Amino acid sequence: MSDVERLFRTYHAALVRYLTRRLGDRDWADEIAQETFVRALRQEHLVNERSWLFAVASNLVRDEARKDIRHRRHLALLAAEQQDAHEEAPDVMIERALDAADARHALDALAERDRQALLLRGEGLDYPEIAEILGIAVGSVGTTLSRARKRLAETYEAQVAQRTQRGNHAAS
Amino acid sequence: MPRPDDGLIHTWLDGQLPPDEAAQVEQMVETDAEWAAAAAEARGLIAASSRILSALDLAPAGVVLPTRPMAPAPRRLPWWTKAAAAVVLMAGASTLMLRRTPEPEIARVHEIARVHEIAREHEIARAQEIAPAAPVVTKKAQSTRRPTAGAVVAGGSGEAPTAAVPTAPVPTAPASLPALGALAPSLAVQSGVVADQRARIAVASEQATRQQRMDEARQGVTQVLVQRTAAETGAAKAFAARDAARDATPAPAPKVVGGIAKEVRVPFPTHPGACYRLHDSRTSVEVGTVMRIGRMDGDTLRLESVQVPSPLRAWVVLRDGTARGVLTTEPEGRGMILVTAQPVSCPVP
Repeated sequence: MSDVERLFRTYHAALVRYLTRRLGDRDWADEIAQETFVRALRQEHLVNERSWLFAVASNLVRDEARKDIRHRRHLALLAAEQQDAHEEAPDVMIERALDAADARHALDALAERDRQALLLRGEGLDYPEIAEILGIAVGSVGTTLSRARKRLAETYEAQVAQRTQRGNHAAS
Repeated sequence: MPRPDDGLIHTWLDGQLPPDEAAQVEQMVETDAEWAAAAAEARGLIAASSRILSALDLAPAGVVLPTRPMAPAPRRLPWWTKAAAAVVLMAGASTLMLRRTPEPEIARVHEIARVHEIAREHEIARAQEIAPAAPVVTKKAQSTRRPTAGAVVAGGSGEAPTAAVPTAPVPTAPASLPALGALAPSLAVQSGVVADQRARIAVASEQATRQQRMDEARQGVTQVLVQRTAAETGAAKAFAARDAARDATPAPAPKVVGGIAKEVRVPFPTHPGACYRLHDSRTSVEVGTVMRIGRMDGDTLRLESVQVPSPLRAWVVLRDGTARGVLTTEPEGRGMILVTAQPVSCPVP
């Protein structure tokens, strides 16, 4: 395929960012992005390349997540270790790490379809592309996004409030 | 005035509505307080979710165990299905083996192995005659040089057996079947067992010749000749040497036309351990170190650096006489570049 390089340069960063947000691990995201582009190399022709790439990446994530519960356990373990390690870090780092943890918690609280719609939109995919990847009607993408954004913000706010409350208790 | 529709408002704010519908929503937001409040809330939610999602970009690397290269997930079958399949497979294989390996052929294999053994003993005896001062070759030492029947059957896949005696210039003895006829007269001049050996060699030679004719009729003369030659005259070594020489030949560099590397069509070795040199497909500049094949996955070569430990990994797809793929260039698996791969000889460790 002659335009693989263009494909790579155009979508690699967005795909890795999408996968990183989705998975919470940069290495894992890189690996799945790499596999996605390898599969793109095998394609003779892509009708809608952006939605194809994101759909393949999403499917790979889904398949891997289904297969590798072991990895998820390990992720939880190491994330906890990393949080401990961050206690030694400067305040800003701690704050950012906690912020990321709250965001992760909020994102994980969403239904899979809502989460995916939100992340895909975050990478600039338009409604028809999101609908194609998720297998839903274009008309329902707006509703899905509306619900997802609201739930994400509410859960995140609740998480922050809870943490603040814990911090206040600890201080007193 | 209809109640505000959150989905519609988000669609409008995302710029995904057709112009006419967008104009209608805009008008309602401007004229109706309820719609205006809903739009303001939606704007806030969009901004908030964007900010929350960006917090996730700080995800650390290496949190998850390195995943294995992803292949299509095999269907998981219940254990009893696998057991039944194994039984059927074994039964089928046994039947096939029995049908395809008639007793005379098995006997022939043993005969040939025995001939090799006899010929070697004979050469050792001659060597001792030529060089009486040479130390006596012990039974154990002899046995270590005997070829196995498997090696004979393999037809050149194994290394050709040699009969090197430590202190005497004994010729290597692939004991080729075509040479058996010539070997027989020389055996005749030996004492005692030589007559018996000669008879057995003659029988084996005749059987081999007959078998060869049958094989030629069945498989085609060329193929048989190649196999025989490879198996019985040490041509396997020649092939190996030729392959090594071919591998040692530097692969042609990709041609650069208008700044874009054009792949050079060369045959690609696909066996594990074969080495490749990678070039940036855009600039044709050599990148990384020499990579060797870890494993094949369909038409994809999974390459790893020959320098261990190394974070470099590459995935290369073979297609239409070209090898192209991606190379992970940074220690944490970040950053990839598109590459072309050219086979090279592996560096000597």
